[in-house]
Amino acid sequence: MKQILPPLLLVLILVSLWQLYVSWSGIRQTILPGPFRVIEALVNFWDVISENLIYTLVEATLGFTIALAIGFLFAVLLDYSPVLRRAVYPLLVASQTIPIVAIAPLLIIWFGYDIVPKIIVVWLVCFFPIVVAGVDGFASTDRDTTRLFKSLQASTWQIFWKLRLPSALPFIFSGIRIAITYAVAGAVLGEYVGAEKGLGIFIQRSKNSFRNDLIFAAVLVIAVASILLFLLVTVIQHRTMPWYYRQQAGGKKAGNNKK
Amino acid sequence: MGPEVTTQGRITLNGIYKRYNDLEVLRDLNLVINEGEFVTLIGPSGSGKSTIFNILAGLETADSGEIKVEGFNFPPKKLFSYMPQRDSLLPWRNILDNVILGQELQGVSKKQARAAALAELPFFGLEGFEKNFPSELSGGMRQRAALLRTVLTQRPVLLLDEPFGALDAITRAQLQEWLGNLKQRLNRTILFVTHDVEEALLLSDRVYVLSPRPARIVLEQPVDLDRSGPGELVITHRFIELKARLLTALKSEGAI
Repeated sequence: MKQILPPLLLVLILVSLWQLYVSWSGIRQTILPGPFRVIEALVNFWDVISENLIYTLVEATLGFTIALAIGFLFAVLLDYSPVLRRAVYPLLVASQTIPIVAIAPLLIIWFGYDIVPKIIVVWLVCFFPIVVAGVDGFASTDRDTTRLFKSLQASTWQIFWKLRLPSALPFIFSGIRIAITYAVAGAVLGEYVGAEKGLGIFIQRSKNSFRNDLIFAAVLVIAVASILLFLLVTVIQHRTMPWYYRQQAGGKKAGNNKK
Repeated sequence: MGPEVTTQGRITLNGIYKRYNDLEVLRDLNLVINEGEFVTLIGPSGSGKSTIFNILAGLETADSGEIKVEGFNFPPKKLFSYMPQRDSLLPWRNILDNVILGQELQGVSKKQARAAALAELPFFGLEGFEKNFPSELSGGMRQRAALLRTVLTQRPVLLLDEPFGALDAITRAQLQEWLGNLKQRLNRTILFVTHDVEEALLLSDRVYVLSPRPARIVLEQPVDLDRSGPGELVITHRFIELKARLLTALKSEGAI
């Protein structure tokens, strides 16, 4: 709770300031709706918003899962072959300079209005952090321990599963946590340029009908969904790497817990 | 200790040469390690002690020279068990699963390996800590766990590369005494590397003093100390005499 309190307080302060500004400045709520107005819109349009949210979440999860699978595979390959790594790594970095907003409409032209171009956009934004984290993670494997494994005649396969993969896990999870926060926003971006369902097109339509309160409501939903996904990954990470968190906490030193 | 370990005969290193590009590390190195003996290599940093270990552990090959092991064909894959300077415990495994690593990699079932390891934990002062992660243990305990892992690998010769080098003086003295007592029970041939003259004398049957790079043997000194006698060994006349002899050999080579 100690960790949650400061950001919660800050959010409360910011939202209050927002409400105060809207109330005192006399600005029209169609231009800048206050937080209460946004909540009201969210409740009134929950049916439509939740339906679109599910659609967006499906795109985000599918795109993210594919990015994770292919990204992991790529990281393993790049780790395995230094030549491949030297060839591919710079291209990967360069690919990040391409604005996805520019590609998204092309994807619609190529793949149509259905779910495929959205999944591709999500994949594009999630892929990079996962590959980079994986490659760096594998490279972080301790050299002395690798030598120890070799002196025990461990096979390449054993070294991968029992040493390199666990060594890389903290890095891989960092990559996943970055990627998952991009995933929902990526799906929304994909929908924004053309879609039939989803929060992106919902925002687009709300804008066209001057319903700024609905835009805010949709943005709020996107933010909350992203945060929940982030928390989900964090929980999975805690379950997967209990040793990592005990280590970070400094660990109970031996002697304090002798049975 | 656990399942019986097959023993080897005398190990002989004959005229070993090793260089890394322009850096000559070993020049005509000759060593003998008898079965069941505790032999220590002592010498300045960077004198190639670790290179000798790597060659024996099969991690590197010598440029020339020959290594003979009676009753074994070199490179004997299952002869040496190597303990690196830092403990190299896997942070994601608890102590029990760390110490069985050697057996696990050789295909022994985890269940069987764990049972054997549990029986040994008390002798290594690790009883009750089998479920703890390495980060939860003190430096001394981690070194003992690493040694247990080395021992449980079930190979006849232990290669211990400065196992106590990174510990504080008090823990170090405790572990030296502990290993001295454990030695008999281990019943293995041990090749030990250290910078510490006293540590070498406390534990070894024989000490080789190495020169700075390229390493060769400056002195071969049998250690004939009565360790069972009363009083502090380190202040006995013979101990001080041997210590002086080793220090002189190190100094003569400009090692210290």
